[in-house]
Amino acid sequence: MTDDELTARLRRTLAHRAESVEADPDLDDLAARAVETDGTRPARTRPRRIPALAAAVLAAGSIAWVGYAVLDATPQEGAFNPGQPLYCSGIQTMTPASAAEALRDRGYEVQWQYHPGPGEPAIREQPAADAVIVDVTIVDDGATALVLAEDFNAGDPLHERLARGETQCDSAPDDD
Amino acid sequence: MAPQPEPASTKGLLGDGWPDGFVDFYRRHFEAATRVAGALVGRSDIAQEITQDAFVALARRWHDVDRPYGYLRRCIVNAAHNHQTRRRRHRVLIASQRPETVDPPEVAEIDRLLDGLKPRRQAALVLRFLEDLDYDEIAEILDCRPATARSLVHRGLSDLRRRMS
Repeated sequence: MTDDELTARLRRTLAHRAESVEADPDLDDLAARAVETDGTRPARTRPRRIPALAAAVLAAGSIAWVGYAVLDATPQEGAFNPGQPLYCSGIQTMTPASAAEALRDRGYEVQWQYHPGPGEPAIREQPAADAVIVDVTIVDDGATALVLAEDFNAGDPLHERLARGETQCDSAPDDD
Repeated sequence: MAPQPEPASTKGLLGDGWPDGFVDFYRRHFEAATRVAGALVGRSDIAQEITQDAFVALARRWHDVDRPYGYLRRCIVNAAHNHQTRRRRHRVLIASQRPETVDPPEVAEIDRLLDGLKPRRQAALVLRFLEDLDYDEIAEILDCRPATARSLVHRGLSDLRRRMS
């Protein structure tokens, strides 16, 4: 392909890309955006709703507390599963502070939304320092949430598994 | 001429409201500016947000800016750069969130390859081949020397060619 052919194709692609954008110069939208950003920073992400079902399932077990670190990016297949970005990351079983640091290193935005249980809307900004990341779930707007456990029952099979340091990574097939 | 609707209130944000002349400028240039943003980020929703933020920034500096469209374009390129940098870190995650495209095959390949370019190279290509800017203008927006702007365009094209093969 010659340079002229490449640039012609690039021009067509850029024009196509630009024309597929919807542009509605609505001043009310702009005013709302001005309010939202205050002109100095990106718009704040609205708090996400925690799925009642996920909270109920966890609370029905021996986990006394559950909390969520909502990640702004969403893997479709579960972040900790083979082939997914947090597979073998070691984040499962980490404390919230370590997990947040590891996630931020990977470019995630982490915000804690902490719920004591289903039907109880209390939110704390930070989970207990000795909480443990036990699982990941998808919240109702498609974001990924890390599930924390605090002070969970020592007899819980999950507790035993985590105490042994086992993760999904341990049963993964070897790479070629 | 049909009466124009009253501008939305911005009292408390921008003094007494939108600055004089800004609303007309906004209506005349929003579509073109959004298209530049769209060519940079490839998503309509993000392009709208980036463009709105750029106009808000422009409104706040309306009386200090000599060339409003140049300032606007620079805001858009910088915001797109920031978005792409974040997105690159999330590439594996958001790839499946992007709506399936129905682009013609001849543009689909380059459209996909554009997303893989370094943001400044991609911006240089958009400014050169969508906006038809010369290297001096590109250099001003990207805050570099004209020779660097030329190099960014050249390298962007080389990247595309290499990835296509």
